[in-house]
Amino acid sequence: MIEKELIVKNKLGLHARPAALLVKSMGKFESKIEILRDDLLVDGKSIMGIMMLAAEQGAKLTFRIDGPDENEAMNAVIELFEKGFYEE
Amino acid sequence: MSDEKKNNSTLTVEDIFKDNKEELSFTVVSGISGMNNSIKSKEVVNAGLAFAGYTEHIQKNSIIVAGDVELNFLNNLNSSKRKLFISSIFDKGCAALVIVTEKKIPKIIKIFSNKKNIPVIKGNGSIYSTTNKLSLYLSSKLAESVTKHGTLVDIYGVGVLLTGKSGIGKSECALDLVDRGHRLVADDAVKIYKRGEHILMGTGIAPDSSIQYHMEVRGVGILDIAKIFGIRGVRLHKRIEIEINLIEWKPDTDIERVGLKEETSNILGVEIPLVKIPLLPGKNISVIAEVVALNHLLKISGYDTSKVFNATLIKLMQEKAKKLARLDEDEE
Repeated sequence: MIEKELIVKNKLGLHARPAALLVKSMGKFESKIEILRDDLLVDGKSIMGIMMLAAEQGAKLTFRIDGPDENEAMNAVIELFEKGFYEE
Repeated sequence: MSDEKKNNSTLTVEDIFKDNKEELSFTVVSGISGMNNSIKSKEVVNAGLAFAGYTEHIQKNSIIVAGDVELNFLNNLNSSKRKLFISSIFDKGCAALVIVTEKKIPKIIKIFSNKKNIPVIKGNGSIYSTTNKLSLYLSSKLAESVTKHGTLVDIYGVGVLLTGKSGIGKSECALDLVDRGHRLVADDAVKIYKRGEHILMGTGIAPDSSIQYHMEVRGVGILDIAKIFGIRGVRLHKRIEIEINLIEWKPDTDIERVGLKEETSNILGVEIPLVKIPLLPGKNISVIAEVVALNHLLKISGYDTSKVFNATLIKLMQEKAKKLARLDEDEE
């Protein structure tokens, strides 16, 4: 199991479009993906869960990934966050 | 697309005569040899100035309508002009000339009609309603149409066209929908035609209502939906407002997750919303089809859930970000 804290960079935060990008990307991996924010924990493959985090610009999210392709999955997550979900 | 077939309907003067003779009290006066002339224009042309020698508006293969005004005008002409004008009308190669009058048709018209093989049909009543009825008749008969592989169901008043590969479960889904109180329009093949410029209508392809509303369900055989569910389970035609495309689920299929991106399907040049539903074992497509229809109603009433939800979420996050920024500045 690996864990990493990431910061939301794009201006609008994790709204519908970035959330859809994230679940589509995560859906390709076998590993179990959990996202933590303060005392909230949601499934990284569930779009409604992700949106309910209401993660604004600057929000800190911890990704906890567990499974055979956890490293690849984490790299995909990191890339999406670094690129700001291809948004401003 | 391979599952579509364009229909090129041909219409002859004979068809128009037969289909309208009772209602418009038509009789064929002359030019019987031209009853097989085909009609290619949806427009019904009012003769008008053609009887005064101006024939620019007389189109080839179209239906021309004249009335008492034209005949009276003709009566006031000398015989050479009369002959000239009448011959120039028939020279234009119209399909048939309909004259709405109580009077006798002038001999000169019959002569040219026979010579040029263009039928003259006499009708009773008002020229206005005759033109109107012929217009409606032609636009429905000559409407562009296409036959598409799919199933058309009326769900809560929304015409939903289910498409997808053969065997994917369109018919089973329709069966379930009819069982839940919705109405079947056509199964397997749907004839789609345009009404006006932006409305798509769908109906079955059966030549007779006695064999319409039958459905094949694999493993069961042929079912008569109208007999099993009664008249409430079927309807003759329905406007098509949305297409649901059933696709096989594969791990890499790109599926819309929030509904912000709207896909459309183009049928006969009309765009309708397209919803792609991936199928997984145990998934209840009928319920999904129902909510697609209801969500469509909600959208056309002005409420787009995906957009409203996302706008609210963004606003919420921005307020939160502002609050945090203020707290940061507040350190004393």
